[in-house]
Amino acid sequence: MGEPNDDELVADFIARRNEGLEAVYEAYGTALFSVARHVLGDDDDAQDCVHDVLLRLWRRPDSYRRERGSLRAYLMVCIRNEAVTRLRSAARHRKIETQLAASETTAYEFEIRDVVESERLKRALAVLPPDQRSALALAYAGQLSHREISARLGVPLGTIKSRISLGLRRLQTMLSRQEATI
Amino acid sequence: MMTFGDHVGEYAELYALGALEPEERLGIDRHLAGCARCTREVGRAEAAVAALDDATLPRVEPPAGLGRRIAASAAALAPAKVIAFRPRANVPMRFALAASIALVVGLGGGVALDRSIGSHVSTRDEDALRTVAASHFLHASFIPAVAGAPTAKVLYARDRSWYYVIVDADIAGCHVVASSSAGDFDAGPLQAGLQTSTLFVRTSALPRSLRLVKEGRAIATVTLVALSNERPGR
Repeated sequence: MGEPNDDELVADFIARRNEGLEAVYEAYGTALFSVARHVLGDDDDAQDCVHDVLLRLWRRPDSYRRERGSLRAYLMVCIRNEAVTRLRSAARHRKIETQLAASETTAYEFEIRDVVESERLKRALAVLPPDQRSALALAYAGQLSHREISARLGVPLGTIKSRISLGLRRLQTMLSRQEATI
Repeated sequence: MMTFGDHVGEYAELYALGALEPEERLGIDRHLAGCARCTREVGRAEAAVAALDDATLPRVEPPAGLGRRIAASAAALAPAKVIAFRPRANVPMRFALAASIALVVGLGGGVALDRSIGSHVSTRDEDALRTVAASHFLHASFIPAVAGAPTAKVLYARDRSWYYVIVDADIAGCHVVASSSAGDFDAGPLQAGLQTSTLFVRTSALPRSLRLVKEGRAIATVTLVALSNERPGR
């Protein structure tokens, strides 16, 4: 996914120039809103989430540093974290619990929609060990915490942490290799 | 409580996936502030999650008004939404606390500002005090969650536009975490002074409760009296 004028955009964002925030929203607004909308399932909640996170980061000069890497990925993860936190709260959390109880615990899978990315991701996911893949899917698609996954699968917390971590690292490595061979 | 060794290790991926609890994330954030290696590690995990998002999530255009709303809020924030209320080093820090509490307890709702207070604080502090003094507000004491927790209070506006946390201790590395029906929100770090730490927050909706969180652990909590949090126009 392209990052238009990323250097300039990052510089403006770090310097807290007003045009920096506008440019960030212009460039990444759709991606950020898509993440929030997907997790929260509601337009108004997603708007509040994107608004609150961007403003919160904007007022903290130390919130992002260049060594973090992609500003876009950083912001998407901040939105995901905030959205998941909101989702887990109170009544919404109970709703998820009900949905989860009614479904097969390990039924969460990755729904690949982007046709360009589809083959790359499918190949990468296919070589993940099943336990890593299912733990990763529960965390990513199921939006469960590592503690919730541990409780649901009846697997020790340390094991779950390792499965999730190794799964994402492998996925990342394989995607990078594929990128290098394209 | 967040526990990891010298570096975040496998927590990097959990962080990027949103699989940690808010207080665990705060622990990571604090570590990242001083560790370039882990910052890069977390950045790599974030790139992997973003790649998953790009491949799996339907792209949804945000409503047209969201950009305008963000721009308006950013403009309103200038120069800073969070105002550090920190008397200068040569001023007794307890004075600020006492003055603020006196506004509540002594004046029963804060309708006036003793000019002697303003003469001892910086321009930004004066802004905070002016806001407090010009508002009708309530106050509540934090309940210690651990032994030895410092005395702390929160003042909060009846019109729900701000809250002001005052801790009677110079407490570094302590964050205020606000909870509402929408979830938890890290309102920011307390600004530590010589004997008092404070945080003044402007907001559009008061939280239901606040926690003082230090090293990933809640050391004191307070519940705010329920006021209607309905936002105008929604």
